[in-house]
Amino acid sequence: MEKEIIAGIDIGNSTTEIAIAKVGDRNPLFLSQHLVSTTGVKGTAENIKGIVACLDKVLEKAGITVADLSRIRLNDAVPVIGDLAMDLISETIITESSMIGHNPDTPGGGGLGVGETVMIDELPKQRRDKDLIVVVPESFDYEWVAYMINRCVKDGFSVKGAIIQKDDGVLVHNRLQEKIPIVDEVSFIEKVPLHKLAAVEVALSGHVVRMLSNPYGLATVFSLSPEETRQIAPVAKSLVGVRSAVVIRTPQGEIVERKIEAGNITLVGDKDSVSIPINDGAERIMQAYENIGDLIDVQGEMGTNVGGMLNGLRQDLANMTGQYASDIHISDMLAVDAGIPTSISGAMAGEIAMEQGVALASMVKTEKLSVHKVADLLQQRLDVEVEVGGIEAEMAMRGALTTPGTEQPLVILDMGGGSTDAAVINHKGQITTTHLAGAGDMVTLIIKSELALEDIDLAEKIKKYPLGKVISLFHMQLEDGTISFTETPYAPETFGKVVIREESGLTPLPIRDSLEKIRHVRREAKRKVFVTNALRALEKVSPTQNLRHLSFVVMLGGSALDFEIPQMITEELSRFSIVAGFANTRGTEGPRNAVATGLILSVTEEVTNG
Amino acid sequence: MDDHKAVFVPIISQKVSSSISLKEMCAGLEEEGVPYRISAEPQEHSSSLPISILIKGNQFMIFHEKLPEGQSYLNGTAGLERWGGKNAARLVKGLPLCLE
Repeated sequence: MEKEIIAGIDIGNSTTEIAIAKVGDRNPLFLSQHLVSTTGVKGTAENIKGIVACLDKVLEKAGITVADLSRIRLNDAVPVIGDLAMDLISETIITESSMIGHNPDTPGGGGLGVGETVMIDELPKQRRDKDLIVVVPESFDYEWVAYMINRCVKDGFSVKGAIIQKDDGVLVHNRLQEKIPIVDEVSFIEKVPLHKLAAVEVALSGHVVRMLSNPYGLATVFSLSPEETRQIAPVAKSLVGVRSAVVIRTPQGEIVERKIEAGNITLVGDKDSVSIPINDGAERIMQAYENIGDLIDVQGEMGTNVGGMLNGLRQDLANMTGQYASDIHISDMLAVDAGIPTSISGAMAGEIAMEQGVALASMVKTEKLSVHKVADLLQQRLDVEVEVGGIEAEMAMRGALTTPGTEQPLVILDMGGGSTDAAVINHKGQITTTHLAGAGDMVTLIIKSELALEDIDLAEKIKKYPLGKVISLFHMQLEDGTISFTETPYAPETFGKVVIREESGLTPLPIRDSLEKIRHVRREAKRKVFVTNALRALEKVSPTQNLRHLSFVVMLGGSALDFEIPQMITEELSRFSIVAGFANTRGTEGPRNAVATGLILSVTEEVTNG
Repeated sequence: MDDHKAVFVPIISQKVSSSISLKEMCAGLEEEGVPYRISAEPQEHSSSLPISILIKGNQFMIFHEKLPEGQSYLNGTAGLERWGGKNAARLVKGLPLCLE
């Protein structure tokens, strides 16, 4: 029998993988493999670009050309598409006051000062019986400011505190005869209202403000009624944990209070349907989901945040699949609690507050996904016979079973970017599958939001690589507390910072959170998405709905390559006496290339059978 | 400055051009709360801190004792004195630098 060279191509939600092999004998000889990012939504003509780029690479690695290929096999991709949405379920509304709460490294002095705000150069024109807080824009030199305050205090003015635009707090403080608390580095100083009652608090280094972060402290400072205290409470909340703060009362005639309507989410199942306030949080929503049978659709209450979020999601999915928004039915959903950075109304130093939010991943079935169309286009483009191979889960299973130490019955857990898929094969070779919403992309989104990052690529890097903190020119603390040394000094951009330790070098993070906090956010995001989904997926494919009846679980896909996700799942599943680990396709490829390998192996079996 | 303590950043100024502001350099260090001493010759001081600053002409260089001799970690020209003083101090304190 003549040998032929076959390419197996797996178009996934996030990556396109190819393997090529020489077949004809009982054991195919694999020549090379490669992967690239999938171009466009899977199952569309845009995929061709990625496939061709990947194919060029894989052929080059094998040292052959397209003409040497006798056949190309594409996977019959699962017609499901996922999307992500995120929105607030609570928001801090600040009325009747402005505030500054921030952590300049070097504020001046310490303690609390209360008085009326005045511009520094107007200080001598004020009344002597009033307590004053001076406001200093950047045009004033620190020596002059100190001189001015000293002179006026000597003349009998009562200066209780200062708000300074530049980083001059300590310089002014060192030159004052009578010490006052000074908040500096207030970038939008022009927004500080003048001739209003203000309180300035600076905590000693290593401490945080106490008076202004306490609602009753604010009530004491400003002599507030219980009703006014209730209104100002959000200010106290948003000042918790900062080293210096300013609160300015700006009474206005009319109070506009905007309350956020988070709304209800309705889960429609084949057994039951339930409506839950989204405020109850992700855990309650997921609990309710367990009791409604198979999900038919999810709806959000109109005119509320969740309604808007689900509508947006539906529209997104409609655009991706070319179906009408009304025809989109959500077949799976994962809700995860996540902090969302929100700018505070009334804030003057660009402060943000972390508000409670929820991230929703959802999955829809689509009719329009056409791998056959992609196959036809590819055939025209390359002039090589292209056929659509077997069902994706079956191919993945074949590939996964090349992992040393595995046998039927087996469960595969394919953890990708857009979805978490599971399949089980029993003794008879029958396969059951499930496709769940929420995977690597959701983890990235949660990390981005909880760390208030502007750059999604940075969040992706935080997800993928371990962290370190550069503590001197020559040494860095690692996540486990050990220290690593270098001979060449770390770059000034990384000094004192938490960095992402990629193979290619260090990326400093533009945020001030500690290494421990960032690591915690990263691990929790992974746990909330992947451990939750692993359990959900296995319950769905387990013939008895009981995890204890499964014995071998093999993890596949991009997220199985992660440096900590497989361990988290191995640990969690060991509680159910399940052997779980990431695949090693063909004993060499790790958790990659299973479907592409399966596509080739299925041909060999056809050959040997025929 | 307290002469008994050997904890300070030496600022060595040699043939300083009139365009560079020693005062601003010192303000940068003072704001961060790091002591400094100014002199014309390096050997006059023995500080326990690893950081030192050399101002020469209209340039300044910030050194770390563990770097090869003559190799500066940061440097700048007139106009950036406050920045230089501040970052020299932050190197001492182990805080992230302000490089904008």
